[in-house]
Amino acid sequence: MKTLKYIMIAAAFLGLAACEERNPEHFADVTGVYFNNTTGLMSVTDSLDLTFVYEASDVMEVPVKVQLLGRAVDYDRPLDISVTSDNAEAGRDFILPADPVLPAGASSMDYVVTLLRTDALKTQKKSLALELHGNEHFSLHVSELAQISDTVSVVSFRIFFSDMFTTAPSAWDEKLIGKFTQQKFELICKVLEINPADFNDPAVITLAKLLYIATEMTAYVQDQAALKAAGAAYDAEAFDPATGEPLTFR
Amino acid sequence: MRRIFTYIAASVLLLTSCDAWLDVKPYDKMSQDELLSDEEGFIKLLNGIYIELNSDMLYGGALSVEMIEIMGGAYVIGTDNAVWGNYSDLATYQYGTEYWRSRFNETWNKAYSLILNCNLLLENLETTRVTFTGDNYKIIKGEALALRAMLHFDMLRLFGPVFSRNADLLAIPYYKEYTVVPNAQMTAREAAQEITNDLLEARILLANDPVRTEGTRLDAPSDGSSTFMYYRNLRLNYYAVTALLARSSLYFGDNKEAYAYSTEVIKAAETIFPFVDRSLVTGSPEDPDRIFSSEVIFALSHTQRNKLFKNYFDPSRIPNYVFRMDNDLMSSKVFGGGSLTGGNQDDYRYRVNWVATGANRYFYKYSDMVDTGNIRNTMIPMLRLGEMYLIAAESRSEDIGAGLAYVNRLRERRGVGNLQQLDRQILQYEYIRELYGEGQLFYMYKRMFTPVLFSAVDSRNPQPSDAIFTVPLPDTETENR
Amino acid sequence: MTKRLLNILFLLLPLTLHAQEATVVLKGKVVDAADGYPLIGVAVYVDDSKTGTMTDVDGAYELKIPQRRCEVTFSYMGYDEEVRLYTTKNASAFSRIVMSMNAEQLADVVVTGVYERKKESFTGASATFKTDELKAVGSTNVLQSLKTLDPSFKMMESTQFGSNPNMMPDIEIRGKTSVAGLKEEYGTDPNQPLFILDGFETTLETIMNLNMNRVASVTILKDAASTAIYGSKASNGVVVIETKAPARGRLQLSYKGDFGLSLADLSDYNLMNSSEKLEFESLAGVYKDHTGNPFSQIRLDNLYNERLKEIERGVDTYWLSEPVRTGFTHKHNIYAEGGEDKIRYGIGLSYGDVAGVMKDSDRQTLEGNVDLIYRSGKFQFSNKLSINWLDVSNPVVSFAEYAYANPYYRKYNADGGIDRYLYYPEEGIDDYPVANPLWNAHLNNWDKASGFGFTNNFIFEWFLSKEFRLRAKFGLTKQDDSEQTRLSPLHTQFDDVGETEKGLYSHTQIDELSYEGDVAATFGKLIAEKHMVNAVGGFNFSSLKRQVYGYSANGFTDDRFDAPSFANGYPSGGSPDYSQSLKRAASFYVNGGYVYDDRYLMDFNYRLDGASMFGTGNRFRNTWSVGTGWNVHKEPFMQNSDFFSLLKIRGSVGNPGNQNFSAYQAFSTYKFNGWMTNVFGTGVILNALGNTQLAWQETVNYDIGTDLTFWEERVNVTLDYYWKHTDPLLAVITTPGSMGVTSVAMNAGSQKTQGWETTFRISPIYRPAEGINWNISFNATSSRSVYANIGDSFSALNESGKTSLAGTTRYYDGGSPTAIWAVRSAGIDPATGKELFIKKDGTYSFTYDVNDEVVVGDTQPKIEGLFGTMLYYKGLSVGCYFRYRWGGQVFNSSLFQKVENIGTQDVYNNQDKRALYDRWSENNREAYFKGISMVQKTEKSSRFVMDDNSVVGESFNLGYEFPDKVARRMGVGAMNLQLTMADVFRVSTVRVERGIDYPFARSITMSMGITF
Repeated sequence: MKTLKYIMIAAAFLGLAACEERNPEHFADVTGVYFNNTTGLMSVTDSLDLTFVYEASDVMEVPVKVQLLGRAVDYDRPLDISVTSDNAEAGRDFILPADPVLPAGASSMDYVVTLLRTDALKTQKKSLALELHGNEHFSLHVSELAQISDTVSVVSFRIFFSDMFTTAPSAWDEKLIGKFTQQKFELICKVLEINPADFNDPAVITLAKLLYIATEMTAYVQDQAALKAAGAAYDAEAFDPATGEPLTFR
Repeated sequence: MRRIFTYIAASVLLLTSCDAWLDVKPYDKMSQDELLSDEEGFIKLLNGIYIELNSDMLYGGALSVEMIEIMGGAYVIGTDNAVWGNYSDLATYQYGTEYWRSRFNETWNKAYSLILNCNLLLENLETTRVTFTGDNYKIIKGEALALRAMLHFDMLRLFGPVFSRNADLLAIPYYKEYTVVPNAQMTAREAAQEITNDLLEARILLANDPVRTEGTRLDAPSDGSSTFMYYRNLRLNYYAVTALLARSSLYFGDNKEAYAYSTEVIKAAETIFPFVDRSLVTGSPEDPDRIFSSEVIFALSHTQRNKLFKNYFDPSRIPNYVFRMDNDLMSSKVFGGGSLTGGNQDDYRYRVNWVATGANRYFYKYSDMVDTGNIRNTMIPMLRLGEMYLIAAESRSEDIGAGLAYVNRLRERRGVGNLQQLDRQILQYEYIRELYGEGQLFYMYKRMFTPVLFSAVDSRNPQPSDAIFTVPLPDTETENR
Repeated sequence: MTKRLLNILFLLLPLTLHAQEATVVLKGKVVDAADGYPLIGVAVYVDDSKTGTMTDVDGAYELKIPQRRCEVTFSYMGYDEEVRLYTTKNASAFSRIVMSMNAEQLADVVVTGVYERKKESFTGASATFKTDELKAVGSTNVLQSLKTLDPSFKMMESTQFGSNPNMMPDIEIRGKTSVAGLKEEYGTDPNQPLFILDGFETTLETIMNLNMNRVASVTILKDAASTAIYGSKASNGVVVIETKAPARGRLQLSYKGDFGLSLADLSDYNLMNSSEKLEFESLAGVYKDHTGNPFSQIRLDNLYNERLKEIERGVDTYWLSEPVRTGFTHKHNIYAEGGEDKIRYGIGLSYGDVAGVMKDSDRQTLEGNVDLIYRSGKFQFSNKLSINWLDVSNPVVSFAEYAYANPYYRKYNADGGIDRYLYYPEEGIDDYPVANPLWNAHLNNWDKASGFGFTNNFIFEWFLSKEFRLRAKFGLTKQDDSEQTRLSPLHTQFDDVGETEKGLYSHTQIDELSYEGDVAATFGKLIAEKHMVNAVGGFNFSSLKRQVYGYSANGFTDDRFDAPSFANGYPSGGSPDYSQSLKRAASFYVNGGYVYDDRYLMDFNYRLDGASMFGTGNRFRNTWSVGTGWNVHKEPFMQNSDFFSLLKIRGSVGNPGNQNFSAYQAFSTYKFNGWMTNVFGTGVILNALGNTQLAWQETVNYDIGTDLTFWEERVNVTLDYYWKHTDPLLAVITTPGSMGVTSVAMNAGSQKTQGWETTFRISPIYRPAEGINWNISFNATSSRSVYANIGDSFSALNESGKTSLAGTTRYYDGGSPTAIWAVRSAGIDPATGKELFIKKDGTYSFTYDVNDEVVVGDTQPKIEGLFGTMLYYKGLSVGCYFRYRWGGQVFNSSLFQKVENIGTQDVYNNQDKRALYDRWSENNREAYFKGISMVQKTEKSSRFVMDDNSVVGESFNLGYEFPDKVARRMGVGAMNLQLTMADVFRVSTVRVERGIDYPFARSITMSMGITF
C-alpha cells in the first residue's frame, strides 16, 4: 500500500508544479526612442507652424517631446538628435540645447529649441528639421504611426516659423468682419488699439466686440475715403494697395 | 454453397431496384422535378421571373425611375445631406461610396439570379418529356431566351465600357447554363454577339406569337381558361423582341440592322400598337392615359405601381426629396424654345405628365388613375413605339438630319408642329420628351458620349468621360472569383 | 473435408435414405454442462454416413447408426464439439451427453455489431470495456466512463454550457474530419461518431439517456479495418454498445441504484467585490462628465456617493449563489430475468432524475424494456422492446446574467420584495438600465420539453449448421418530442414593446420515425485445423423521417395565466414553421477474415452504399478496407518462453465515408414569390440551388498498431500510429454574384491528420486467487492535422474571421484546423502604456494591421491522456484517474473580453478582478494589461494566447463487494456498494471563465447493486 501512496503524491505534485497560473508575458526587452508630440485632440503630429505675430517677446521656446520606448533606467542616457535647416542659421535664428540626455528614471524629455525673431521672418518663412538617430543606448524601432486621419513620422520633426500670419486668429469671424487679411488686422489693432494676441481669445473678442469693430472700421474707412476725395491727408492703410478701393468689413 | 450464391444474387438485384427507393422528394419545399413535371410548372416559373423583374433593385425602382435616371441627369438633385442623403453622391458619379457599392451589388446579384432562373428553365425545357399545348413550348423558350438577353444587355449597358469607344474591354460574364464554376468576363463585343444571337433565336421561336395576328388581347378569355397567351404586351412578345433588337443594334453601332428592326415594328404598330387616341389624352383631364398605354410594346405589371409616384415624384413629399426636371431646362429646352429645340408647351407629353404645383412642375406619369383596377394602372413601360421612331430617325443614315421625317411623324401624334431640321441635340431633347422616367436617358448619353443634360446651363452639365459612364464591377463579383 | 460439409447440408432432406448395412438405433439426451438443462437443436451425426438428426424439445435424439465402429459427433453453435467412439457395445454411454459452453466465446471477443470475431484474429484497432470496468470509473452515463477509459474518445468540454445535463456534448474519435462551422449549417454535427445499440443505429441522446446498468459491453472501433463494415457512416469512428442479454436459469431479480450530489464549481470565477467595482468604474471615468454640462457632473457625483454609502453600509452581494443549488440525482434500475430451456426473458424498469446544479434544471427519464430470447432447434428469435419517457426543464435566466450583476446592488429592497431594476436612470439621461436577474427568475417563465418513444429490435437467427448462420434483423424506432418555452409579459426584455406584444410562448413538435432492416449470412469454419475462414455478407436498408413544426404566440397580459389561449396574437410577420427531412440508405456489404494457423490474419471489408442525400450523379459509393495481422506469440520460436501471452502486430487501410449531411442538399428547391401576383396568376422562383455533382467526403485511414500482453498477463500495452487523409472536404463557399447564388456547398481542399495512441496497464500485484489485484494504467494520445490544396476557396470564411472581434481560426494551405492566428505582440510599452505589435517581417509598430497575423499557437495539445490506478483487495476496490493535457495553447477570451474590451455598455456588468489590478498606470508600469479606458479597442494579439497545461482529477472511486455468505445472511443473492466522485479538482495554467451560461459541477455518487 505504501508504494501506492508515494505514486499518488508524486502524480499530484507533478501536476501542480507544471501549471501555476500564467499571465500574458511582460514587455519584451526592447529600448528605443521616438518623437511623441500630441496636438490638442490627442493625435500625434510631426510638424509645427509657429508665428511671432502674436508674441510680444522676440524669443520663443519650442519644447519637442522625445518619448522612451521600453523601461526607464537609473542613469542618464545621451540622445543623438541632429538639426538641419536650409534657410536658418544656428545662433542667428535658433539656439539648440547642448548634448541632450534622457534623464535617469524618466520615460520622456523635452528637447527645447529656442527660436529668435529676425526681420527676415516678416517676409520669409524659415524651417528646421530635427532627426532622431539610434545610438548604443537606443534604437529606432518605430519610424511612423498610422492614425485615423493621417500617418505621421515619429523619427523626424519639422518646425516652421515666421513673423507672418499663417492662419486667421481663432476669434476672427469672417461672417461678421469680412475675409482675413494682414492689412485689415493691423489696421484694426492700430485704430481701435486692440492687443494682437487678444484675437486668439474668443472670450475677449466676443460677438458684440466683432459687431462694434465692423461698424467702427466701416465708418473709419468711409471717413478716409471722404478725406481722400477731398484731397486732404488720409490714412493710406485704409485702402487696398492693389485696387485702391477702401477695405470692407462685411 | 449454391444457396449462398443465390442469396447474394437476390440481394444485388434488390439493391438496383432500390435506386428508385432512394429517390426522395422534399415534402416541405417544391423540388425541381416535382415542379417542372407539367406545363403549368414551366408557366409558373416564367411568370415568377417576370414578377421578380418588379423588385426595387431592378425595374421596380433602381433601373427605371431612381438610380439610373439620376445618373441620366433627369432630376435636379440638391446638396443638403439631411434631405438628399446619398443621392448627391450619385449625381456626381461617386460610385465608390459604401452605400452605392452595396446598391450596385444588389442590382447585379438580383439580375444574375434571374438569369440563373432563366437558364434552369431553358435546361429543363430541353430535357423535359412534358407535352405542351399548341405553341406554348416555343413561346416559353422564346420568352426565356429574350429575358436572359435583356438582363445581360442592361448589365452590359450599366457595367460595360462605352461601346462606341472601347468595345474590346472586358465587360460582363455571360451565363447560358447552370455551372458550379464562375464564367470568365467577356469583352463587350463578345457579350454583344451573345445577346444578339439569343434575341435572334427568340424571334424565330416567337414567329407565330398571337400578337402578330390578334394584337395584344388585353381582355382575359371569357371561358376562364389559362390567360397564358393573352395580355401579350405584358410579355416579351415578338415585336418586343424586335424592338429590343433595334435598341441593342443601335447601342452596338449596327445602324443598318437598327433601322430595319425599328421600321418593321413601326409598320406593324400601325394596327397592333396604334398611337394613343387624342381624346384619352386631352379629352379626359381627370383620368388621362398618361403612359400612352396603347403604344407600349412591352411593360411590366406592378400591382403597387403607385409606390413609384409616392416614393419619388409626389409633390406632397416636400420637405423630403422630390424628383423633378430642372425648371429652366424644361422651360427653355425640352418643353420650350420653339423651333430651335422642338420644345412646345402644348405637347401632349407635357400637358399630361407635368402638373404645376407652386413654382415648379411635377412628374405625374406614374400617379394612380381613377380606375385603379385597370390593367393600365399597373404598367411600367419597358419598350414603347416612340423609341422606335427615334431609333429609326437616328439610324437612317450617317447624317442624322435624314431622319427628320420619322421625328416629325412622331411629333404630329404629340400635337406639335414639324421641325425644319434635325441635329443630335434636338434628337436628345426628343428622347427626353418621349422617354423621361423610363430609365433610358443614361444609356443614350453613354451611347452618344455627350454631356449629360442636368440643366440648361452647359457648364453645369457633366462632361462625357469613361469614369462617369462605366460603373465598376461590384465587389461580390471581383472578390470571390 | 467437404464431404462432411455435404452431410450437414443434406440434413434437412427427408430421411428416406435406406441403409444397406445392419443398423441399430441410438437414443439419448444432450444436456448443458453448466446448468443441466436439455439442449435443443444439437446436430447429431455419424462422421462418414449420410444420416444425422437433431435433439428435440427435450434434448432427446434417436439416430440409426450402422452396427460397426464409428464416431458419433454432437455439435452445437457456441458449444465445444463432443465426439464419442461407438464400439457397438457402449450404446448406454450415449444415453446422457454433456456439452460445455465454448470457452473462447466468452473471453476475448470483439463485438462489432455486425459480426463477432475473436480478438486474437481481429486486425482492426478497437477497445472493448466490460460493464464492471465502466461502472468502476463513473456512474453518470456510458460516455462519461468511456471518456475516462479511452484517450481517443474525446468529449469536448463546452465552456459555454458547462455541466448542463440537457446539452448534448460534442464527441470526436481521433480528431475532426470536417470543416468546423458546418454544424449549424446541417444541424447534425458532421464530426460525431456512429452509435450502434444492440446492432441498430441510434442517436447520441438515446445513449445519454441509457441507464448504465443495462449495458453489457462497449466497443470503440477506431480504424478503417474495424469501421469499414459500416461503410458510409463510419469515418468518424463507431461506438458499439451491447445491452445485457437475460441469463438462463430461475427468476433472478437485481436492483441497482445511484444516488448522487453535485455542487457547482465556481472556482474559475474571479469577480470583483463592491468596493473594487466602484473603484474600477471611477478609474474608467464613468463618473466624469464629458458633455461639459455642469448639471450632469452633479448627477454623477450623487450616483457615486449613493453607491459609496451602500458599500459603507456593508453591501457586497454575492450573486453567483442565487441560481445555484446542490443537485440531488437518483437513478434506479430493476431487472428481472430468467428462463427455462427454450425461452429466456428479461423485464427491466429504470428511472433517472438528474438535477443540475442550477435551479429549474432537471432531466427525468423513465424507461421500460422487455427482452425475449426464444431458442428452438436451429432457430433463435430475440426481441428487445424499450419504451422511454423524458421530461426536461431548463433555467430561463442564464448564469451569465448573475455573473454580470454588480455587487453594490442589493438583492432585495427594504421590505424584502424584489425590484424590477437594480438601476434605472432618471428621466432624460441616456444611460443603460440594469435589470434584476432575480426579478426575471421569479416570474412564471419556463423552458420545458417532454418526449415519448419506443424502439423495437427483432432479430431472427437460423443456425443451419455449426459453420453457417443466417440472420435477419428489423428495428423500428418512433420518437415524439415537444418543446415549450414561455416568457412572462413582465420580463424586462419586453419593456419597450407595445402592450399587445408582451410575453412569448413558443411550441415546437418534433416527430421522428426510423426503421432499419438487415439480412446477413455468416459463415465460419476451421478447415484442416490450420485455416480459419470467416465470412459475412448482407444487405441493409434504413430510413429516417423527421418532422419539425411549431408556432409562437405573444401578447400575454398576465404573469400567471400562461396557457397559449391567453395570447392575443402572433409576432408580427410570424408564420408557423415546418420542416421535414427524409433520409434513406441502402447498402450491400461483405466481410471476410482468414487466419492461417492462428498466426497470420487477414480481414477485408467491402460495402456498396447508396443514400438519398446525394445527387443522382453519384448516389452509390463503395467503401473498402483491408487489415492484416501477425500473432507473433503463436510462432514456434516463441513457444518455449511463455513470457508473452499476446504479441500481435496489425495494420489496416480503408476509406470509410462520412454521411452526416442534410437531407436535401443535392436538390434545387423553389418557392412562391408571395409578395405579388399578376394577371397571369402566381409565380415561382428558385429558393435553393442543389449541387448534383456533390461528391461524398472521402477519408482514407491508415493504421499500424501492436497489442502486447506479457509477464503472466500482468502488463498489457497497445500502441497505434494512424494517419487519415480526407479529400475532398465539404464546405460552403461564397460565390461571385454572377452565378446567381451567393454560396454553394462544394467539395474543396483536403485535410491530413496523423497521430499516435498508446495505452499501458501494469499490475504490480496480481493474485486473482486471493482477490487481490492492483493495476496502474497510463494512456496518451497526440495528433496533428494540416489542410492542403484549399487555395482561396475559404477566403470569405477567413475575411469574416479577421474582422470578427475574437475569431482566430483560418483556413489556409498548410495551416492546421486548430491553429490560433493572431498578430504577435511585444507587450505593453512601460513608458506609454501602448501595445507594441510585431509585424510579419519582425519590425515593431504601434498600429495593428490584421495582415501581420501569424500562427501563434495551436489548441491541439502535444500530448494528452489519463493516468490512474485501481486496487482490488478482497471485494474492496479503490481507484483514481487523472486527465492531463500538455503543450496546447488557448486564446484566453475571458481575459480578452472581460479585462480589456470593456465597452461603455458593459462597464455596468461586474468584471474580472484582474481588470482592476494588473493595469498599466503611471506608477504600475510593468503591467500585463493596457490602462483602463472605455474608448480603446483591443485587438486580438498573441498577448492573450497562453499555454494550456492542466491536470484534472477526473474520477475517484471506492467500492465494496459484499462476500456471498454475508449477502446470504442479509437474504440477498449478491450486493455491492460504490462511491464515485467526478471532476474533483482542476489545476491549469490558464484561468478562463468556464461555464458561462451554465456552471461546471463537482459530483459525488453512491451506487448500490443488489441481486435477490
